[in-house]
Amino acid sequence: MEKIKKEKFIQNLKETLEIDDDKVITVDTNLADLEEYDSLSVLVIVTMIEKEYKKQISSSDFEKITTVNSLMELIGKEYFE
Amino acid sequence: MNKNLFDLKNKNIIITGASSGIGGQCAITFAQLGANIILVARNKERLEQTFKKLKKRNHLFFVQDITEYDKLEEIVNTSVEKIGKISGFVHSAGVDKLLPLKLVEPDIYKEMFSVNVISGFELARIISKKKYVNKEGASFVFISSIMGILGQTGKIPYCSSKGAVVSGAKAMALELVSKNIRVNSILPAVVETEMSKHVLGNLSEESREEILNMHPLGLGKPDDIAYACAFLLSDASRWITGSNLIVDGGYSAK
Repeated sequence: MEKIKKEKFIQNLKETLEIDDDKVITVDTNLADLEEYDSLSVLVIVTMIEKEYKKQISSSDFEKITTVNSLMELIGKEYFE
Repeated sequence: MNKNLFDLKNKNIIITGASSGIGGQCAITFAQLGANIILVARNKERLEQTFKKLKKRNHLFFVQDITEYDKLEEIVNTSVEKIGKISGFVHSAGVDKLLPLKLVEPDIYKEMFSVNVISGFELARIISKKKYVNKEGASFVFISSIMGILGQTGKIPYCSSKGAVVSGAKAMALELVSKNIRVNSILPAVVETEMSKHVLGNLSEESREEILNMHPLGLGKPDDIAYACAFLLSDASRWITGSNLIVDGGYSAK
């Protein structure tokens, strides 16, 4: 699998959650702190990851997610540049 | 002077099935109430005729078969670029067929659901994106039918598709609350349009008489539905979402 660029992943995440372009998201951003993040966002992110990165994540695994970095760890840090 | 909550001033409203019937009348009525209309329909000639009847404002029209789902985002994107973000959406496009169950094949359901349900829900999905929808709020109205909650002989595909519109709109209303988008459906009984004339034309004189007698206030006119629709698009209905408004001349009261 081609390595995922961190910046591209964050951009995909912003588009998926419809986060304004001028809002800064980093690996340390806590997803739950985002105003765009709600109860359905988990499903939206899981679907985006499946579609874009062909990686399956169960919604129960998502309970461990806090920051963007922890989401990347769940996908597998080895997949990122 | 206080703002008139019932007008549609400066609202940009997308209407499917806008060339004739209920959708066409909605375009004319909403333009009179101050809205800019984005008309979408398949028939260019009729669409242009309706477009010419609109009170002059910043209107647009698109000749498009709305079951070509991959073309829909371009319509919304172009509309937002040209006249601004969307405050209202009315899905009025619909098809109807009178067929007994023994003649209904899967393709009939597919056609009925693709126009009556899926294209409308797909447009709602696109319009509700943050980049397209007015952040002050918006209102989506799906033209269902009283047949969405009642049955009628020979109308299984139509009734089931219109029922899907009612229940889907309720679920959508809950999901889009966070974006300040209200979602409702309108359930008309028989309204005098080209489509209903065609369906009624296939019935015996006796059956037509029977249908007329089922409407205590007589058959509806397209503007009877357009007025109800305008109310649901206006700020006067700001506390109404997830509802199915019955506008049927008393049909379901019997």
